[in-house]
Amino acid sequence: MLNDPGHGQLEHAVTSEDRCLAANGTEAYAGQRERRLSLRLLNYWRHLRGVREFATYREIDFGVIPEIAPHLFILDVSNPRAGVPVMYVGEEMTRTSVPGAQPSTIADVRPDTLLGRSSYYYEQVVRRRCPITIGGEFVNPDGAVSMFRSVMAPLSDDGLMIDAVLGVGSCKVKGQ
Amino acid sequence: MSSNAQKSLTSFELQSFQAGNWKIDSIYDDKELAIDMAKRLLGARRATAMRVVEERFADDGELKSRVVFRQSLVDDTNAEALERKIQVQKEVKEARDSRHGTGRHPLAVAGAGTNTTDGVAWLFVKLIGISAVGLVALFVLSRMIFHG
Repeated sequence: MLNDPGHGQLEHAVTSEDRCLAANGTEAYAGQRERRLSLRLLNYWRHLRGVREFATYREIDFGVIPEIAPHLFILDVSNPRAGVPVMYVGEEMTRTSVPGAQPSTIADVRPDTLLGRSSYYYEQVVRRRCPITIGGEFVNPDGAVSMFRSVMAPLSDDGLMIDAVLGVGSCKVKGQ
Repeated sequence: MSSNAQKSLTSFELQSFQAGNWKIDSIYDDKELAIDMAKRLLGARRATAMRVVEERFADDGELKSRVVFRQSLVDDTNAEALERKIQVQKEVKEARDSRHGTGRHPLAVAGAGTNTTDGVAWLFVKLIGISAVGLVALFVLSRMIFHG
């Protein structure tokens, strides 16, 4: 059960969608024209897995998702007791959440940042074995109240054990 | 309970119907997002049926579930068939009412019954004519027999 106390109505609109479509206007994956970032990631995840239950992080093609990649993060959850390494953080996510240094594990990420709020429920994703999206509000390090929406989807190499989580998050300062 | 607190205890499971069973596709904290995705997947024929199940912790701590959205690919086809059936039934009723309103039997021959008076008159004339011919014939025969 999701435990986020708030509910964010904001959804980041990917305004660069036209640039990401092929020259003839076709979609690289079904649902690429979706304006909401979280739903677009879900569409990409479904495209990746095809008829399988899960996709594997090795198949992620950043060339196909240039509009999503800056907001993306990937966590290694294969051995959570030893820590949850952050395998990838997009530049926009880095800029808003971890300026200065890439976090090595999720424990290094401040909870009052977009990455912190977008990733805290990864255990639920692993347990439920399906994508989960939540929205809400948080007070960022600058003291401003931000509304956010994030989604995380499970990845698996063998189709059985969830070994990675693919996520995306976006936020906006409330009132702007 | 405040609105935010209520929302924190509520989630929406998007489920797809596969191989005879409902399977969780994804989980949302926003009902409209979940329903939107369900409609999109149905429109893209990614599933034959989708439903959104609201899961909520009641005040007593019990988990309550209810279906807040359900649709399948055959729903539109069934809706069209039902509409056609209703239309046909309406047309049959209108035709039946129209026939009962004029007082005509459905199997009545066209034109029959409108000239009843004329038919009786012509019958009477024919009867008189046949009778006259018969009387004349009797008179002639009697003359032949008695006067040789």
